[in-house]
Amino acid sequence: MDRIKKLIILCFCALIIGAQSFIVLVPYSIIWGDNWKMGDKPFWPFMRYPMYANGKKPGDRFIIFELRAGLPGKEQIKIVSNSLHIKGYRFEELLWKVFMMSDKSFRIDRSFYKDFIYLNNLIKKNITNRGTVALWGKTYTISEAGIIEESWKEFYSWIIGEEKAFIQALRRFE
Amino acid sequence: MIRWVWHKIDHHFFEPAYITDLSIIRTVIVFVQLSFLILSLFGISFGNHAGLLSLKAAVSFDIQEYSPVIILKLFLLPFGWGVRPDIMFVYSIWITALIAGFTSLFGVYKKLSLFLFTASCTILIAYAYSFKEQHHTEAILILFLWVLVFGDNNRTWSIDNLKKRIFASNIKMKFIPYDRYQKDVFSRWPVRVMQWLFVIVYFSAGLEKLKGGFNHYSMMLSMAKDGILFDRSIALWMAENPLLLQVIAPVAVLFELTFPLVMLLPGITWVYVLIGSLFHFSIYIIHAPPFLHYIVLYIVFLEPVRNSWKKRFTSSKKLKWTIIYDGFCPLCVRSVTVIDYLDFYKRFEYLDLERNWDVVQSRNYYIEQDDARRALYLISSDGKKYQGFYAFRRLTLLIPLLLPLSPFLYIPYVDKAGNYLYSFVAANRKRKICTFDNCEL
Repeated sequence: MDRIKKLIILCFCALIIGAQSFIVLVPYSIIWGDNWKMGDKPFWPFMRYPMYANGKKPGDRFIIFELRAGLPGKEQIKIVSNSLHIKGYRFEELLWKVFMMSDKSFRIDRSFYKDFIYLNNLIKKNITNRGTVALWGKTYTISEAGIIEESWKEFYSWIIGEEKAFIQALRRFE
Repeated sequence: MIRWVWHKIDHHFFEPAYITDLSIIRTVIVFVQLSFLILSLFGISFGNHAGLLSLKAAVSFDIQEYSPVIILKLFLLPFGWGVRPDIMFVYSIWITALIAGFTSLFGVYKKLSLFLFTASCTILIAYAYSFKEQHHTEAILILFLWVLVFGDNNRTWSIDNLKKRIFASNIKMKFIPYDRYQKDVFSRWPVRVMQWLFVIVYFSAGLEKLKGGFNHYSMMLSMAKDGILFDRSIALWMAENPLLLQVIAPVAVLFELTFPLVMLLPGITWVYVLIGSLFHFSIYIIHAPPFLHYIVLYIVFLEPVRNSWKKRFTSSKKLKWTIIYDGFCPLCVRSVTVIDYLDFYKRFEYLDLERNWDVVQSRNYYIEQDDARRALYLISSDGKKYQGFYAFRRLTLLIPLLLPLSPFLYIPYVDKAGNYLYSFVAANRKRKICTFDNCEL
């Protein structure tokens, strides 16, 4: 009887340890196929732990973004993820996409424009449907001696409600 | 060969282990998850419980953002594949988690409680992570809880078990001492699975760094980013010191990749636990991503660490205090059973004044049997005697779980009320002389 109980328990152990090992050792793209997007962890709580794993080199940078809305007759306000009712990482992803849309060094596809329209819809729904929106950022670059900090800079601005025209203007450069 | 492999696996997972170890681990893990649940209610972040923290916001998130993780789809399958739960459903799960958390912490209907608590927490966190953002650190805690749902045998450290002991004492009309050193073949495997999960987590972190080409510039970037986002000046200072990062970066990878050694060489576990604790504490202090609860979760390595430090279950083998109780009084037997259950350090010796009176006499305590029948005696190793209420008051200082009571009992005049109450209960308690059938002399 104990032997059967032990065998059942061992199957359970193998299932848990095996599932965690499988996720760690086999690439997500193989498990999940084409549907998998970078950053998705659909098998939570089984997941891998890639904390700060990517190699960097001098010249690599990161940008702290801020999305600011200029409402008619009022001071600019900072738009945060919670006010748009989306998660912080998702908000950051949308801002990166907006940034990448006009930077020729990045390859973009239709999903970028789709996300841009989605971001605008969120702003219209939760903040305002008039005025301008501007993407600001502060760039930090890795160097041999440490981090080089640039000052805040406005990357792009567009008028709410006219995001399609903004996209058309961008496409002219493609 | 197969026999040899089976023997090795059998030894690894089913070598008899202290059942108390598993109960300690269960209590600590449930406590951590329950704390996260309560803290998130007040929006306090201490340790990484991002899922629960964002739960309140998640219920109002845009439907377009909803992308349920697989485990949530499975739990909500009776309502349809991939449905988004109603707000009221989420709140009712939260309340269930809270109630079941307390009952499983204290071990009331423990099997059911632990299952409900684990399932509720899994649903809540999985729901919060179904909006295109998932975090790591609650994952291991949830896996640990599921292992405990199937693995904890509920044989110690629970109100359920204490009730069973009191019932057994009542039936036998005799105090039955609690064996803290009891071992069981099915108490090891849950601990082993949790240890393996820990090992895989660290190995994964190390492996990803190797594959990703982690270097001191990666560390510089993360320090700078977190330093800015979480306003940590020490992280910014470190980002400006590449030389320091050149030393730390390989040490971190080495620690993570070699962590699996603890499974092969249990003797070195305490070194890894110590370094790991420093590692997580530093991460928290330097650049906010908090993995502080990992330090508490090292409890799964309790046995190898204890063995290495040559610490026994008890703090001292010498018995320092003697309790003389009335073995024919059911209330006294119940009280002594509870005291014994809470005596984690085995500091007490119990003498039944009816059955062990010869032992009491041989020790020259100079007490009368009739006097001892009226109230419980507590005697220190140097012969100092406490009786009745004063014995109980002294006990609250000796039993860690009763410690919060002691300040109230030392308030002036409380002893007068306490004495009166004790005498009243003692005068009105029942005494049963056991019969031949039910009495074990």
